[in-house]
Order: sequence, then C-alpha cells, then structure tokens
Amino acid sequence: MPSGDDPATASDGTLRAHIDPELCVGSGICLATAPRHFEPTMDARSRARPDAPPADDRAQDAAALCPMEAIHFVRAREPTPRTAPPEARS
Amino acid sequence: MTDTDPGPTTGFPLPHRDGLGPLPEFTALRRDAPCARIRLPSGDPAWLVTRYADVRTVLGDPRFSRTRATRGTGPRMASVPTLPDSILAADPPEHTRLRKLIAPAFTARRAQAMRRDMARLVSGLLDALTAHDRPADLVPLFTRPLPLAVICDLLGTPRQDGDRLDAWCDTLRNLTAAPDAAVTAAVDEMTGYLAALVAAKRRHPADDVVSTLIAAHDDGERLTQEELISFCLVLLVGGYGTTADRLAGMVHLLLDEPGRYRRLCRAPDTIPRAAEELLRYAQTNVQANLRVATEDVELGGVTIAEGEAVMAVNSSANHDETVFEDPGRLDLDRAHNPHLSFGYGVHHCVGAQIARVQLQEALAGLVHRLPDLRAAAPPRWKTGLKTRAPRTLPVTW
Repeated sequence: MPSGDDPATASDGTLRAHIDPELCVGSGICLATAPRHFEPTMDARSRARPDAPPADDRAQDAAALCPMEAIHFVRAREPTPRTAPPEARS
Repeated sequence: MTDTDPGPTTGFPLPHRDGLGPLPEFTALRRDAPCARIRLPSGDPAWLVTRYADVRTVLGDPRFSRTRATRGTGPRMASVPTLPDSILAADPPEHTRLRKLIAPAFTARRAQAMRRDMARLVSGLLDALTAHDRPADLVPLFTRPLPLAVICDLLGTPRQDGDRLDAWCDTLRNLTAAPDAAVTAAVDEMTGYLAALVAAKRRHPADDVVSTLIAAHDDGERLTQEELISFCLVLLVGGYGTTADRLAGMVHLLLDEPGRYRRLCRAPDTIPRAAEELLRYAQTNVQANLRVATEDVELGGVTIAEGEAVMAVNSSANHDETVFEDPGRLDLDRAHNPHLSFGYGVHHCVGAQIARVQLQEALAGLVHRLPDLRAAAPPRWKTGLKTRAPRTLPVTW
C-alpha cells in the first residue's frame, strides 16, 4: 500500500515551529518576522500558531533571530484530514 | 499636517524634568489622547502613541516602517539625516539579513557565558572605587567604564576612547541640546573613527563581532561598507551610552530611597527581578524612533493615514495603568512585568540579554562590596537629549 494512502504515515514529516514557553521572554521578534507562524499569548509571550503552515524561511529566520534560542522545529505529520467516515467512502 | 483635520497639537518635546519618575504629560495622554498630534523638531507632524497595547502594535506591526522614516522623502524626526544605512533604519527582509549576522553573538546563552568576566570587571572597578577619596562620582568610576569594557571586548574595539565616545553618544541622542550641525559633525567624526578601527581590524581579525561583520562584507558581499560602519556605530552607541545611562539611572533610583538599596543588600538574590522593575519604572525615553505607516491604520481611536509618522514611546507604555498595577510605584517585588524597555518586535534591543546580565552583575557587586553606599549630593542631569539620565552620581560609603 502506498504510504500516502495511510494518514498515520501520510507524510514523512514536515517541519513545524515550536516555542519553549519556559525560555520565551516576549521580545516580539518572531511575531514581527513570521506572523503566519507565531502569535502572542495572553501573558505577553509568543507561541506557534496552531494553524501555522509548515515551517518556511520566515520561520527559520525567526528562530535564528530569537535571543533566547527558544524556537525549535519538530517533525510533525501534515494536518491531513482524518480518514473519511465509512459512509462517505462507500 | 493634513488640511482636512488640523486637530489640537500636543507640546513636544516634553519640558525637561530632572529624575526618572513618572511624567504627568504621558499619564494625561494615556487617559485623554492615546494617539495625539505632535510637531517634531524637524517641523513635520506626527502621532504620539502612549498606551501599552498601541505601542506594541506600532513596534511589532510591519505596517509601521522604519525605512520610510529614515530614507527617501517623508516625515522626519530632525532635519539632519542620521544613519540611513544602519540596521535601525531597515525593515524586514533587509533587517533580517543584517540582524542574522550578529544574532548568534547576542543570545541569552552567550550573555550568561559572559557573566563571570563581567563580575570580574565589576570587581576591578570597585577595587579602584573603594580606594578613591570620598565622596566620589560613580559615573566616571563605575557606570561608564563597565559597559565600555563589555561592549569594546565584544566588538573587539579599544577601551580607551571612552571620553570621545561619551560626547558622540550624547550628541547622537540630541533632541534640543545641540544644533543640527553638531549632530552631523558627530556622525561624521564617529564614522571616521569607526572606519579607521575597521581598517585596523581587517589587518588583524580576531574572534569578535567587528571581525564577523568585516568577514560578511569581504567574503560574502552580505554587507555594504556603509552598513558595516553604521552597524558598528549603532552597537557601540547602544552598548555603551545607553547601558551607561541606564545603570547610572538605576543606581540613582536605588539610592534615592535608601530602603531600596538596603533591601537589595539584604536579599541580593532578588536583584534580577529588581533590575527588571528598575528598567520598567525609569522614564528614560522621552521620545522614540519614528515609524511611518505604509497604509491607513486605525489606532487609539484615530486613523493614521498612509505616509504619516508615528512615535510610540516605551516609557509611557511601561506605566500603562491597564497593564501594570500601581505603575507609578517602584515595586522591587513586581511579578507581572512585561515591560517594553528593550523595545518590541524586530528592532527589540539586540543587546538586551547582555545588558540584563551586566546590570545584574553591577548591582550585585555594589551591594556586596558597598553595603553603606549612599548619595552624597543630588545628581546633575543631562538635558535636551532623547533620553534622561544622571550626568553625575556623587556617592559616599
């Protein structure tokens, strides 16, 4: 079975940004550098947007500029739509 | 000024007041006119932004451009252009290209690795201070030489030119104290000074930031000569003058109410939090680097039109009553303290982490070695600059 058909292995892993909340000091550099990837939190820090696209050059730039080195990239599965319900498949 | 809406104009610059305490003009503006019309020293109009949320928006939102406030035509702070090639004048992605060159040297990790050297510098300066006659002026003996040594060692530039750098740093922060010609002359002199340093460094590169920037210019064409010199200038002025002024201001605030200083002597482990509160409380900046709106933006109840200038003042944001409880009180225990003293967004102070460690070590050294430190006379204050700071800090012990 081609791996692409199985949501569990649909992607060999796109990179997604992640901010360590313990390290973030809320400089706002990442928010201004890569606004599609990061958003402010209620306590004036930053976090990765849950709906962020796969990490691109802008996200990589934000990581390079973070003075706290708080931005890391994790391999995550594409947010592939869940397997269609059986009735839709038939 | 647009001819459609003249509107009342708020006085700017603010009248000078000695000290670093709350500025009643900002308090009134936050309450009554959070986006107020002002006239800049150049004669151009601008919007003065004073509330925390609005200041963060201006500093963090790409619709407010530093490039348009410094290059080409448009509203200007002053009638003399200063450093159009510097990183402070750049917007992303150009800003990103420049900042990535130096960011690795300014991380919190690197700053922590410098802590022991800074403590040693502090100790050496305090050895000399304690051997000095009393009273003594802490500015030339401590609050200036420490940041001078730290930034010069980091950049790889000589430590012995402090007096010339002092004069240039103050002139570059001119608001009303010096004529335009003096500002232009200071920029020219400092540019010449740094060009000579860069030429010397090019012959003898080392493991320092100036060598890194020279390599970026020479090897990869990632940096023009003008950008290289402007970069060195901004790092030196920011690393030295700004930090020296901040440190002097902090020590003044601690000694101004001796209970504050005694408290840090009793509980030196609280210095990091206390330093953040001192950074928040001190109303150091009485203006801000100008931005220009790249499109119409609604802010603070007004529409800022495309092409209009905006000045968002971090000092005022740091005293916003909706963010900081009892903001006019210096509370060394303040827990919730998301101050904007290092700015916000892409231009967030690149030296912030080094400044933090340095200020902490300076205060730690003082309370450890001089628990009886006290003001011997009121400080004299700098006047007519973009930032407020003690010019002298007479102390005894």
